[in-house]
Amino acid sequence: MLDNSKEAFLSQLKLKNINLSNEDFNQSYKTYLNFRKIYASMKNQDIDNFEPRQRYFGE
Amino acid sequence: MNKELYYLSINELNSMYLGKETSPVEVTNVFLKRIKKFDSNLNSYIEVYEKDAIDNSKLAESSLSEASTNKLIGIPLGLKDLIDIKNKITTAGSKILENNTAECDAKITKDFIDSKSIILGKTNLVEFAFGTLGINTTTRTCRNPWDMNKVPGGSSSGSAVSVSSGLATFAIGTDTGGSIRMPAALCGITGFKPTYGTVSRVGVKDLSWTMDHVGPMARSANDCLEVMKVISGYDSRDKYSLDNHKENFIDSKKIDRTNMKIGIPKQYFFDDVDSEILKRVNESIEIFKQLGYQIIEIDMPFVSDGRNINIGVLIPEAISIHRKFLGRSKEYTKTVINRLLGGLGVTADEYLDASRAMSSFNQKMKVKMSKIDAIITPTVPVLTPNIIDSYNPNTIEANSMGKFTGVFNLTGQPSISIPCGLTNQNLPVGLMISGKMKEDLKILKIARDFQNNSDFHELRPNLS
Repeated sequence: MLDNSKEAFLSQLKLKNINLSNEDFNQSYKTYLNFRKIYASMKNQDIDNFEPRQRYFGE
Repeated sequence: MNKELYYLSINELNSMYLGKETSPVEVTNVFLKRIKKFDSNLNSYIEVYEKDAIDNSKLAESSLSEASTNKLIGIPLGLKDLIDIKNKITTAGSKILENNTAECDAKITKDFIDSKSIILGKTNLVEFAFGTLGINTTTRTCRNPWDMNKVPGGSSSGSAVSVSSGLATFAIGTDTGGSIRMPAALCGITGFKPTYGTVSRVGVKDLSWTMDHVGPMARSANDCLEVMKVISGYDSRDKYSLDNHKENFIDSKKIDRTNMKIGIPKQYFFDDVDSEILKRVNESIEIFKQLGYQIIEIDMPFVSDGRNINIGVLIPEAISIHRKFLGRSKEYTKTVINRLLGGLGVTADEYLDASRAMSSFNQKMKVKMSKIDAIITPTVPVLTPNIIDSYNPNTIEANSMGKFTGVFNLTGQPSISIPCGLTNQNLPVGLMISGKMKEDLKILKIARDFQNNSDFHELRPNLS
């Protein structure tokens, strides 16, 4: 699992050779933190009995 | 004639064609003239195909003997600019694809060509369909026809604006987290997201293969139904296309209201909703009650997880689809590149967790839906913001607009937004009706029944 630090986010950008202005970095980092929260919340779900991406079409 | 040609329904135009009271050429010219008059301010079209539209209207006119069985003949429409038309550019609202000429027609484009409908042009959108408010600094943001300072909602912003303003009889949108239903709500029209797999996605640029849906946007549920009859059906080239679903749109039986159970969720969908929106939605629920529908409160505490799971699956898929473009980050609009980059570094474990949480969520929803026919909720929880306040990608409105709609992209259930009144600022409010998987026709009929007994969908913006 990734950490939430600015350094962790910066390393993700570096991996893709992306340079951002300070303002763009701060906005994207805010979004990054929001997404990190979302994935952290999934850790508590009881999903042991489920395969991925199922939809239930029948009765 | 009581109504202007540009605000007639599909059935009204079809009747006039059959009665020779007007013609596809006349109607097409009315729309083209109106686009010229209003669209330089509204920005609902990225490109208008004037010559093709006139040529195709002549073709439709010469085939009007088909009009008794082909309702879409000679009907003008707009296609969201994510959808391919052979030899035309599909920009997806992005500088990155400004020279992207399509080699083939999308399946849905071919459906309209075969029906001899008139494709007026490609409608504006949020870049790559990745945004909730309708902001696009590359193509110029569409304006909400009800108040030109307000956002139209996204991502199918141009489709909603063109239909609301009488610049198309209907339009096609795509919906990954609410992109048909949110702009439909904000612009006062009807937007329908069918059951996942009902409309082929072949030739439509994808944002998330798990969550993407294609559907109609029109001024009534009945018009959406007429469009669904043509665009639904199995397509072997779309891996997730549903088999044997087209016959579900045959509109034979009248709706039996007294046996129709409508669920009102006790949790989430009515929490933290703007009071004006809440008032209009509750008034509409009263209308359903008076019509004889059974209104039942339902307990569904799990739904608060839905939007997060929707995003949790969508983000890594979007990044994977965009991986070849991310190096050109400066060519993206700021709101979209911000969202994409914010999702960098999602691990395989995290994607799988979200994908398995999706399965768990969908099973709970299936159990809940087994006791009812439909769920009624507000389409969006917040009032329509100003364009000028919406360029920051992390506004409250941008982050909460898709809170309710995204739940039904996750499940794949059919879901429609219909107008249910205006706020004190004279801006439209949307009501969302969502049904069981593959019961699209039932949802369209419930929405049509409401519209047959109310006139919110007849309200029009003042463009003069």
